[in-house]
Formats: sequence, structure tokens, C-alpha cells
Amino acid sequence: MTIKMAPAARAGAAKPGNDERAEAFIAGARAPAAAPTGKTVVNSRWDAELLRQIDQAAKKQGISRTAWLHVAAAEKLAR
Amino acid sequence: MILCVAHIKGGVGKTLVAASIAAVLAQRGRDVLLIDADDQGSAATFAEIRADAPGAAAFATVQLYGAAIRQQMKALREKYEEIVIDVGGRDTGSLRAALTVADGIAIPFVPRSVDLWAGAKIAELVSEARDLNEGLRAYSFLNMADAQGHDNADAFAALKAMPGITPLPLAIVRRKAFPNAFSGGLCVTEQTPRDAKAVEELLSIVDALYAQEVGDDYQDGARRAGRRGQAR
Repeated sequence: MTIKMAPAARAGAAKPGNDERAEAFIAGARAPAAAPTGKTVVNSRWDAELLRQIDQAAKKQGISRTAWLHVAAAEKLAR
Repeated sequence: MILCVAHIKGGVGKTLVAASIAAVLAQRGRDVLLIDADDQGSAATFAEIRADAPGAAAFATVQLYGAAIRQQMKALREKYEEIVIDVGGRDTGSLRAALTVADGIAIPFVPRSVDLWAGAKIAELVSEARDLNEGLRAYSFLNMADAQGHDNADAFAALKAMPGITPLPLAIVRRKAFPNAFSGGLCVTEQTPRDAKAVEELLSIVDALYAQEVGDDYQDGARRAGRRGQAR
């Protein structure tokens, strides 16, 4: 079961000033926060031979399997 | 217990370890929540595959990022007996937020110089986090270790030199059983045929993190495999 959590109210501070210090610590991260992608994870079962052919086609184009499937789906929908 | 499986270095097997720990705890009857705080979302994908995997012990999974991890934790820790957070790969707000609320951090290290170099940075981050979270325990262990050779022992010596982080004298060896089970949404403890060595290595780490029964001498998981065998 995968649940996406909605933003919630702040938990109570453990001691005065702790939340502010924590916020400063969290904000000090060197890497940027993950941007919301709006993407949904989908799992599906594929025939092994079809998957092999997809992987082969993706490799020829130098892209990932996921990217290849995105392109194929976009092309199909654009028709 | 809130356990954060984290590193600021990618490719050290955090997600597999975090998901495996969650699965073992669920198998032991604990009410477990796995938090996927890595923007790659691999733990969440694992959980979705796991939902269709026969024989998989159930645990809940949520995706949380950044300060929300800290904000949500008060409610979540009341609801679940065990919370495992998969986070990191970089110095992110998610990692830092997890460190402010976790009881412990487990840091997997691949026994290679480039991975061990990152030890000083994560040790520094843990030290900073302890200003906010005094009780934060930190453990390191070898993951994707060699089945034989001197590199594990050399790497363990490097782990011992990291200030403020307790090195577990254990290792998870690079074995196909781990990714094979993971790709099917399972933990090695649930996979058939059973790889006894892989199971032993994982359970040794879980026991050490949760029971804190750790010996002083380096003893890699592969050598311990014969002792407990398939008892679990």
C-alpha cells in the first residue's frame, strides 16, 4: 500500500526554539529540495519478449526504457 | 523506533536495506511504516510491486519529502511501532529533516575508497543533527561487501575512524539474492529458494540495529551464516 501524505499542521515543538533551529538546519541542505514531478508510479506486467524488443529499441536510440515508452505513448496519443 | 537509512552518497544500497529492514520487522509482527523520502521513489515502487507479491509481510509506505518528514512524524510515530525512512544520496532537506526526528541512523558503506571518503561529511551532518536531536544514535556497516579478500577489513578500519558513528562489525555481501528478491517486491527472507547467507547477513544487521547486541570484533556476515543457518 502506498499512500501519498497531504501536508499537515506542524507538530508541537519539543522545546522552545527547537523548531526554528530545526528549520534552519533543514534549510541548510546543500542539494535542492525535490521538485514535485506530478508523475505517478505505475506497475504493469509485460511479456518478456516484448520488453526485450522495447529495450533493444530504446538502446538504439540511446534512451531509457521509460523514456522510450513515454515517447511511444505520446506519439500514439498524438495520432 | 524511527530508523533512518541514509547516506549523502548515492549507490550504496540504502533503499534495498531500508525496504529489507521494514520487511523483516513486518515479518516479526511489528506494525511498520516505510517512508520513502528519496525523490527517486524507488521504495514506493518496491512497495507497489510488493502489494502483488505472494507471501509478502504487509507494511505501509508513504512518500514524504523535506520538512514534512519532521512535521508529520508526531502523528506517525503514535500510529506505527516501527518507522523506517529511506533517504539521502545527497545532503537534502529530507535527510536533514529525518535526522531531527530519528532515533537512529544506519549508514551503509560500500567498501571502496570513494564511498568511504564521504564518511567525514555524513559524520559532520550527524554531529550537527545531534544539537537538535541529542539521542540520535548512528551506526555504520558495510553493504555490497566483498565475499572474500582484505577490502572489508580495511574498510571496517576506516568506519571505526569516523567520529560519532558506531561501526557495526557486520557486513552484507554483494549477492544476487538481494536485487533478485527486491525486483519482485520481496525481501531475501521471503524469497524462495532461500539464500541462507544473504538472510543471515540481513538479520544480523537488523538484530544489531534493534537489539544492539553487537560484538567488538569484526566478523563479516558471510562467516556468521553457518551459525544461525535457516533457523528463521
